[in-house]
Amino acid sequence: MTTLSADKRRDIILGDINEIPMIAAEIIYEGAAVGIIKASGHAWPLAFPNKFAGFAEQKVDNSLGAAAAKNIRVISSGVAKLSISGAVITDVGLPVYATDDDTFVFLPTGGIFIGMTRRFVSSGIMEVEFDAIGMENPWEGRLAETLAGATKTLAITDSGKVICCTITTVITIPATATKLDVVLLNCGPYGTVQISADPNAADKIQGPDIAGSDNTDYYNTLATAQRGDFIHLINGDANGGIVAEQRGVWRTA
Amino acid sequence: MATLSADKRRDIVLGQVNEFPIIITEIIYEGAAVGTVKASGHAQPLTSSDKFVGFAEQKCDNSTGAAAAKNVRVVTKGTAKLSVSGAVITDVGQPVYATDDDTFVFLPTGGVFIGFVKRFVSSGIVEVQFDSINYKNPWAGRLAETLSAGTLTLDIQDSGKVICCTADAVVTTAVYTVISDVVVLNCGAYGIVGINIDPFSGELVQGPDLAGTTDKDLINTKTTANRGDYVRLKGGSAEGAVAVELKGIWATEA
Repeated sequence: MTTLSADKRRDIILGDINEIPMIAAEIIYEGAAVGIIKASGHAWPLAFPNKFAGFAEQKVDNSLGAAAAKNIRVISSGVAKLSISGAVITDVGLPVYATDDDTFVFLPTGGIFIGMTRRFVSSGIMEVEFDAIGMENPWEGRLAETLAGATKTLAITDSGKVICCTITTVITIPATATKLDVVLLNCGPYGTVQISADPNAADKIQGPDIAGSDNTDYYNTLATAQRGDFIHLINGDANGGIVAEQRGVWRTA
Repeated sequence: MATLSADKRRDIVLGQVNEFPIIITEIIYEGAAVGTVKASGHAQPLTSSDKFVGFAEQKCDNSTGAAAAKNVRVVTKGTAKLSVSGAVITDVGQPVYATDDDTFVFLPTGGVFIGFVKRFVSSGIVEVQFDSINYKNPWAGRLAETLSAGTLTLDIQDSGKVICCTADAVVTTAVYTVISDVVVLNCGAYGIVGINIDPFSGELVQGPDLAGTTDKDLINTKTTANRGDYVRLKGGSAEGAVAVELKGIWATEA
């Protein structure tokens, strides 16, 4: 370690612009969400599972060039008006994901985190605040899975997941011997999706000031349920599942 | 509570500059990473126990002054070009730590969180985006420990740690009755460090869509492993450890 014993002029770079070398034989169009390929550190039109780097400021045509022959210039932080499938006025403050360079959704399943909604513009259109370097996906580290049916019984291999519910759903918690750690996430707009966590027979669900009741569901009340409501459920206590975190209005039935 | 019944003019402070009173008999040089001493709230050249507050905009010589006799002026938010040991082009997005006012590393062990890599400049040189108020160390709250040997057998006292692997490592889980919660973190550049999570004898490692196999490792595939890949393991399940968070490509040993 060498602490300073004299002034050291740091290059402090202003603004929200970044530049990244591009992959070979590719075009990135103006406005594209740009991704960085983990193996090479080079940029291209965003695809799963890249890291989001920002939005392309202008078209760069490297269709005839080698890797890193050109740089793409991106805006790495700011606010962008984007089309987001299903966006409504109650969706301010929610994370937004991209599934390619021009498709933006609320579902984390198979998407790359972009930023957070800041303002509702009109149905399906929102302003999204992004900071490709500093913002973190709220579900980082968890495997996102969209629940296809109205019921699901959890297993140990659901540990580490965030289960994304787009329709009203009853999720059955296994017996206490299964020590799972899972997040149940409401992915429906305000007042449209109810999640019920159904404990195993003779078990209950406890949590912060929640005594629970045997064989009784813990549910995200439909009338006030909101996209982004969730419970982080840890199973294994002798009495049943424990709610370690929650957002939104949840009640024991 | 007294809610407003009239307009109240708020002083909204613009810009990315901050000022802190400096400790007694100290010089903070221009460009220094500046820390605040927790006990006093005064600023000094950053040390491993401080909170990072920004980079000094100009030299502040308080070598003959009392505590708080002068203020140091810092840039709290922006992007700085820094020397970060071992930085390569695949490190964009990685958290960066300082071990003093002019030494920057990727290892969280003994370091103070500064910001995230924004742009690769050249080998060992990157632009780092920092925001000393808003950005959060991804491993805040955990004790960082560098794995100095190639093997480690976890025990209950590893709970709450982030184990930082800088070389190929085999980490053996504790018996399932140990209710631990530990993160094993890949700290090698892309494709350099492989991590094997070796279950306790007769157990397996399960996780999201990972059924696991008795006595088979959970592996962070070396060829695609990246700095920042990690697994968060919890004990307590009768079959063995459970991966409750994963980043990067992990697979059960064939």
